Amino acid sequence: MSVNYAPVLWNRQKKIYDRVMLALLFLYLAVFIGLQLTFFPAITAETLVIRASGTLAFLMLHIILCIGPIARIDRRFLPLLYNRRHLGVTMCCVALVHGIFNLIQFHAMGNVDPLVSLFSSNEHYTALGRFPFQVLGFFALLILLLMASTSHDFWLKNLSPRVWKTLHMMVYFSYAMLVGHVMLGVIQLEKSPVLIGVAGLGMFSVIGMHIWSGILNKKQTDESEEEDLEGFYRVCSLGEIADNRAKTVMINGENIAVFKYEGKLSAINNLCRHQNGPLGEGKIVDGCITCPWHGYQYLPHNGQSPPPFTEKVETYDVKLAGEWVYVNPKPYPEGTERPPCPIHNIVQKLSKIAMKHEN
Amino acid sequence: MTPTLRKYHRRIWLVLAVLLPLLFVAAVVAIPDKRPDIVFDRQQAAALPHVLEEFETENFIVRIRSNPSKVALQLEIEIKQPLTTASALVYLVNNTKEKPTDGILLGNLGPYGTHRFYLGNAPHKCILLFDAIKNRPIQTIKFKY
Amino acid sequence: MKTENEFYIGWQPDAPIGIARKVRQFIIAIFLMVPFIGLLLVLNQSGFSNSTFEYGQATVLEGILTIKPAPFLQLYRGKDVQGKPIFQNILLVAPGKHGVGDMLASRERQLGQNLEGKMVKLSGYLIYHDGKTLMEVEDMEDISPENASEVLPPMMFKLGDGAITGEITDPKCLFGVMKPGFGKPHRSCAARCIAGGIPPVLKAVSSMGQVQYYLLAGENGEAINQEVLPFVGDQVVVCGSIERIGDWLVILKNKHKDLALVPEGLEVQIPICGG
Repeated sequence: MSVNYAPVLWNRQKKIYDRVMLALLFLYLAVFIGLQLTFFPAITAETLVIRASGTLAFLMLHIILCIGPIARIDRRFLPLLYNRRHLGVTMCCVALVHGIFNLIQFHAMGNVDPLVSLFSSNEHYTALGRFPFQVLGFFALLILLLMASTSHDFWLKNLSPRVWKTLHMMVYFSYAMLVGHVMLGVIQLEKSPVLIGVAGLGMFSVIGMHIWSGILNKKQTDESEEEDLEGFYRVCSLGEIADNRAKTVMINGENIAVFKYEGKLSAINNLCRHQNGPLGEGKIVDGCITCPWHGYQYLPHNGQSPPPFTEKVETYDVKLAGEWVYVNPKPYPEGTERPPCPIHNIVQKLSKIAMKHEN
Repeated sequence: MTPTLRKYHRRIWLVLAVLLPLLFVAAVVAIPDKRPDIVFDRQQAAALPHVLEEFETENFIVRIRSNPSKVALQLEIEIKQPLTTASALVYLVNNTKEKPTDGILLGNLGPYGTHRFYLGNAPHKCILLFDAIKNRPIQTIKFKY
Repeated sequence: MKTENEFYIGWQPDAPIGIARKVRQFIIAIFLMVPFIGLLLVLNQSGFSNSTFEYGQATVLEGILTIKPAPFLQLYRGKDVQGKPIFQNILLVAPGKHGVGDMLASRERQLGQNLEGKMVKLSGYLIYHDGKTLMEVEDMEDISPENASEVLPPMMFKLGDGAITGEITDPKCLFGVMKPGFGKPHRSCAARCIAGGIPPVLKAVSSMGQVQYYLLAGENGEAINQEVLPFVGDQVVVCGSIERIGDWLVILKNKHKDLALVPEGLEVQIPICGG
């Protein structure tokens, strides 16, 4: 949680993550370059750099894109998500090496400016086999550069999490262009069925992972339309909320997480002020609601981050009617203290019995 | 994942799940494969019918061809791997120690494929392939005929 | 289950045991998969030519300068069995993606004379592969006509009319400077080189893998670089007069027959030029 804007707020987990990432990077490069020089000694240095960096960047992007759905399918993979931005920035650097080498190799030292040449040397936009695939790579790289240069929390705060996340979801558009770049570029020459198969496997893995996680997580957030006379909406039965965990619900466009802890209920806005992560999928640790993505914390009764941190979320009124939990979707301003709803002993016992039956 | 994010992801991936495989398959179909066969012989002398001798080295298959009466002789060199020298001249020499200046020039070797040279009836015994730019021999092949 | 209660917080020094184990398994799988993918990608490439570009290693050659149909330095090698003079033609290119046209014209203006057909000494870096040799001439500031050659190269002579199918590319990259110097990934570079004045070459390959190279020029030996630009990297049919100059073949393209993309699935070359 950034109190000041340091380039990177290092901790042990991030260091482990980055060491593993760099080890993987060097392993791939060592294997790729070693094999190239062994089996194809006639290769030029430029082609070696272009192919090594291009294949590595594309492979890294596949891994990056699979992290999100993998973490949805099994929460134990959330550590892969924690420092994903370092992976993304590194991948962008590798892709930049590829892009610059290509621009120099194929477009520099000619009769026009290299960037002009990139767009003018092949203008067959209407024929698939002749399509100027390098233009696809150029725009894909631009998106990745935009994402890498705005990956810091500084941009997250100043662009707002919503705008930032929208910008960073352009990675999917970049990915689609890169599939085109590879399939309409190098694959048109290197036609080996194995290479086509590897590219296809990568693409179908990314698509498959996203669809699978989408199906598995289809109904994570309910919508409530049952309103009572006081403006409260029924959310769920008390037994549906595990201790120190939450139930999330959408009511009139408000995304609310209701937490059960220490014999009480509190409701806050589900969106973490860091990256709009799902607070409702977090846990109460040491009395604080902890976001599952990057560990940002908020006090349940007032939606404020514990000092010295300053993030705040909206709070809501909660009540219990019998075993049913109700929430008023009218939000209080960020950081407003609202009294938690106490859970009476008998109701708590009944809810525990109900939970036991379900399990 | 928040409901809003989930909604956007659902829409994006439903589109990509259709478009990306289509693009993939279309690109594979667009790969150019078969090349038309081409005829080279119009730029080459026709092969004489009889093979008097044949040698194979690492990079070449060399044949001495003749007509039925063995009066006309032809040297045929089949290049097995593209040449890696700046120049490749073909000389007839008497022995493996002779230099090109002592021999008879037959011509240049060219691209990967078969090349034929008229031999005349000069009583030479060896073929010397020579790189005239780097001034060094490439290979010497001795005949029996 | 115990692991269901585990919760990962990134800023804590250690991950819970169950989560750490799971992530470790994943990392091991990735460490096995990634080099394997590298292996698959490398071993299934189609390979690279054994061409050579002697960049930085200058060679000096003396020969007769020819400008049409392409800039050559023609090196006299001797006479063959039938008494015909044998020449090796070195195709000339300039540094980067440029032809020697401008360099040559500038030198001719300086000297106040035409250098076509004159004996000259040129220094440059050789590029060679598959029986063809080029020279990247760094500059022509010092060249001047030497003593006239005793043996003149034969005129370009006609072998016949025909249609040749192949890929248009630039000879500088094709014969040594880039690998690969042909095909879709190289297309833009070939277009840039040809636009810069390097004479276009048609590389014709048979289904048996035999290769022939043809310089492309107009009917009167003039440059047709702009005309071929849209077809660079494509399989095309070129109709024209097939001629020989030294050890190079040339197609003098028929001005009434446009370049055409090879129809899909065409298996045997057919005489589609007619007339």
